[in-house]
Amino acid sequence: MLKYILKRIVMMVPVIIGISFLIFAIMNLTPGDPARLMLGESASNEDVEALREEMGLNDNFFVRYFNYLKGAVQGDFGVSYRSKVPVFNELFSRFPSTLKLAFGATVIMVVIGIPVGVISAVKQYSIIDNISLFSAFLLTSMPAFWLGLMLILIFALHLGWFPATGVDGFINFVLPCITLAAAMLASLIRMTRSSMLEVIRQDYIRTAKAKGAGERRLIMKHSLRNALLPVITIIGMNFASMLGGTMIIESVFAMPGLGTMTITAVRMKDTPLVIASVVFVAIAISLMNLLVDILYTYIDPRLRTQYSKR
Amino acid sequence: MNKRLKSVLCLMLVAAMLLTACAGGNTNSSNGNSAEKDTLNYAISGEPSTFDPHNISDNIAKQVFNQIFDRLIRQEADGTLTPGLAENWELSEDGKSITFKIRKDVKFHNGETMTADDVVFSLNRAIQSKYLQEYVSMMEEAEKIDDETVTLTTKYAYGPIEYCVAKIDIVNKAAVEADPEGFGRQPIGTGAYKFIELKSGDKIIAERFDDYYRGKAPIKNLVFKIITDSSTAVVALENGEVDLLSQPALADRQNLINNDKVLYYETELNGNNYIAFNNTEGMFNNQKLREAISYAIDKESMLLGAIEGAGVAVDNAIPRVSFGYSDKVKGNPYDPEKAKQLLAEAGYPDGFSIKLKTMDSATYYKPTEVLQDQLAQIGITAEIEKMERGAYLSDVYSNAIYDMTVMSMVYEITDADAIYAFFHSDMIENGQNFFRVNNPELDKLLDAGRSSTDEAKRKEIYEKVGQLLNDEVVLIPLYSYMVGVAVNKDLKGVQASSIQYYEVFSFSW
Amino acid sequence: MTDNTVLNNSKAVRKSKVKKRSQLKSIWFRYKKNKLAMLGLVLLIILTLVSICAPLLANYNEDAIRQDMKNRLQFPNKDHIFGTDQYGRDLFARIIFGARVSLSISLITIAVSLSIGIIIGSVAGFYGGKIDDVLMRIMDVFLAIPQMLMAISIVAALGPGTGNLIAAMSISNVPRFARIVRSSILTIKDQEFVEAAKACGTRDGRIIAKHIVPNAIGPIIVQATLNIAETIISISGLSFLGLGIKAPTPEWGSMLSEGKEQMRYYPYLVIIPGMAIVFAVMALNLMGDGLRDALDPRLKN
Repeated sequence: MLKYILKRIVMMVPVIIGISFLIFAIMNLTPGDPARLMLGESASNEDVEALREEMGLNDNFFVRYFNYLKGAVQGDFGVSYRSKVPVFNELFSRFPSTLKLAFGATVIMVVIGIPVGVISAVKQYSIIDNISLFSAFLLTSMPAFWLGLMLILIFALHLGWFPATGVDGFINFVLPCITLAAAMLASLIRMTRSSMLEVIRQDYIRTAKAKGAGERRLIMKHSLRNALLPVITIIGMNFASMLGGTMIIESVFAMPGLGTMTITAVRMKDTPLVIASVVFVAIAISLMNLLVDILYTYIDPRLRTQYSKR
Repeated sequence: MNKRLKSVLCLMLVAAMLLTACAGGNTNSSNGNSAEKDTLNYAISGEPSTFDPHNISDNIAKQVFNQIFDRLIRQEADGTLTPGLAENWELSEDGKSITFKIRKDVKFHNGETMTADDVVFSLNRAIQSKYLQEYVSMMEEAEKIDDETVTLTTKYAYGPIEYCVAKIDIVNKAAVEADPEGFGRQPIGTGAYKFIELKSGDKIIAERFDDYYRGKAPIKNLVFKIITDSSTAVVALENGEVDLLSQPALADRQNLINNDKVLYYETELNGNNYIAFNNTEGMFNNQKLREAISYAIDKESMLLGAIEGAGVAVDNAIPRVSFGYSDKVKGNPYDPEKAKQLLAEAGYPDGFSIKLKTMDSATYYKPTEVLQDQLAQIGITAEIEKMERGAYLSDVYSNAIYDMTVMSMVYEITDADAIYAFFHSDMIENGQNFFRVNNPELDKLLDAGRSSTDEAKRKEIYEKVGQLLNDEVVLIPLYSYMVGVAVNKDLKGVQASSIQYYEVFSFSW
Repeated sequence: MTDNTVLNNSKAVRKSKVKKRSQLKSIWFRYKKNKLAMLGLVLLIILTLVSICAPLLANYNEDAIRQDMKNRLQFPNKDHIFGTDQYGRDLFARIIFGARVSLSISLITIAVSLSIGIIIGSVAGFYGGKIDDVLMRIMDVFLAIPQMLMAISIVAALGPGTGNLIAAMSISNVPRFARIVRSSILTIKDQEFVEAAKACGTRDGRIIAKHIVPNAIGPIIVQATLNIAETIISISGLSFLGLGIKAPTPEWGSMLSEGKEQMRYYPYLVIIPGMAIVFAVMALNLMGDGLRDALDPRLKN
């Protein structure tokens, strides 16, 4: 088992290097000069040149990338071009908000998604099933920022129940989390539903039913636990992808998270920060996937043996 | 069946209750609910990348610096100059140096007293700064004469020098020298508020400086809330989450004016939007062509489409609120038929294609979008190229790599001489003449206006300047617009500022 | 080729054609049963018809592009059934021409990523070994970067515009298609009939075309349908961030971002394009999901 985990982690390394190279390439081989962007409009060309020299921007592309890697391997991931603060400090100061957002959205997603999915499956093709599926689809089909703005209008402005901005307290996260959850809700409901359906039809369920087990027991004890396995994967994957996809929502709700930081960094061609941010998210996603896989093997005894043999 | 349904529904109900329970109570953090009235929540649309005033030139940062730092000369909200950290000052005979007498009773936020050394250090640092060249390019050096006196020399006699000095923030020499990088994260100034903390992406916290030389500010706590989205900012203002919003989106202007929880102050900007031509390099070297386009412009539509009508159509390159403006200066009326005719005469009977560069700010791209349509109506196909701010300014403003573009210009000085740097032929090399206009008669007039001290005569000169610029169609002035500030109705002391300068020190609840 | 082989081939061909037809029929039969899926199909047909007939319903230049300040910001009325926008342009015209833009860009994007994905996936799956490893690692790199981020980086770097937009979004979709094709190939590769075909001397390309493609086509179509829906939302998201289609071309996402600041006072400016997006995306989502259910033999009722 440990070997497997180590192997997975080792496999992440080339991917990470690949990501850094890709982002570095995109940032550097396309128009737009970070020095000019930092100095602004009326700066003279000489001043911009001087800053470029200072930042080492005039070196050859591969030289620059090599220098970056060299530094990275020694633990120095560079400083943000804009703020001169080490990139990981920036990252960690912004990460908590995004984490809270993703977590809150996941909670909402689970609390609403799983019950609805279960009910839909148990009462397949009924009105409830159709309505819930339809609503889920409706929510998912809405652009996130539109939904966010609508929620702000109704709940923050007209009703005044929630604030429109900031991250001071629990209450600030309600609307953004709902918006973020909405996008993922459909996939969770569908997956829960189809997974439940699959399990319900299995022989051992029919056996239990034949044996006279009450329906409630059937669902809670037998079906649900088994049906949840693939669902856990989806939850994990959704959570991970949320970490990387909060940009628009953070923008609309003015939340100081990774998303808004990354957008600014991309616009200002703040390469070290962009790379750090993407790499960070990539690692988080990979670790999340790994975690889910491990969890999976512990829950599903059939898989446990398979993995321990590796 | 029912039981299971019930338990599932119960679960959802509990969750819903949890959420609404938290909604009912207002969990406000310790950093200030405006209802306590000892805090001002000031909305800003972004986060400054540093708090070192000599290492950034950014409108957002300036709003913060206005509270934390002071300058030798203070510029009031309406633009007039008054003594700041300098008690008084004197311009030399040849106009190439200015001597300041420094106040002795000014303290920095860390308790130290401000000395002439700090002043000299700050001035020289600003002069060397890559970011502030717009205000310091004419300055030479600052020198300490004695503990009370500092002299600033300039490369040439420059009339509006005081306005430039009024832009330079004075910083604590020892703190900067001890840790220049750190200073950018924890600035120390002499202003009415001292910087406490930055919560990245969220807010900037400042607190009243009790030893401020002009006295204690009425409002104790100052929090800059970073709200990037303009609609959200307006909602936050109406909700009471913020108390001041500078330059709210014009779409919200009418609503803010009508809203009785909010007061909206506005004043006319010292500047205007216009269509700029590159008069020598490229196709617009052709005066007839420029003239043709001037007949194709419907300024009233521009006003509506670009700024919701919150402004005035103008025919004069000189701003309405500046000395030297004359409404006798006339431009060409909107006449698309005439435009098409002139277009043919200029050599383009079938129209042509052109690229319009613009930047990502509504002040720029909205009139450009309207222009695109108006050009299409006379057969010119325009493609809009939206550029990053820095790239746009570099192309157009610094290097004149463009044919035609919509520019928005704001002048710091309310005097027509401000346009010298843009229209005098000397300024093609040394200044900002991105119109690339080289007109001897214009040069003569501009020089005369600059050197004359007779008000009546100057007025006459600048009226001629305005008309000449129109006759030669060097540019097409479009409109001047209003700048506004929206505040909580209980906030007193607020005044709209044509230079967007707001001093929380003068506000109170 | 001997006469026998020719005969056998045509018999086999006929048999496989019959098999295919009844396969399609049963898929259609399962699909029809799903009410939501049928709804999706109907919505999609409406959408397609509207896009195709757009020029008949409104004039592109006069209604959708030309500004008319005197008539700006009108609520829906009898002259303009969806009202007018902040430049006086007819919203109905912009919506229906916007349908063309959204659909065509998404389709092209998916087509591009599909083509590249199929090539990569086939090569990886078929030849296996080192090539497979390298290709899949490269795919992992692209997959690890969230789609929005990738798109933002590329468009922010290259500038807005249709071409760049398509490039930016195709790149993120390639890995998914590559994966599907690859896994289809892997499941089939070791099966007997492939070995048999190889033994007969059938060219690799033919094996891919005849055996692998039919198997992979199901999941690919499902994924493609869902991806088109996602792409439409992505485009609107990019427009929100100012990186979308250039003015004055009507596009639902740009209309949303333009109307956003007027939203509180003229909500129809945002409600209507938003609903258009929801309409299109829902149609595709419902269809894609319905197809997935219909193609999945395990859910046979």
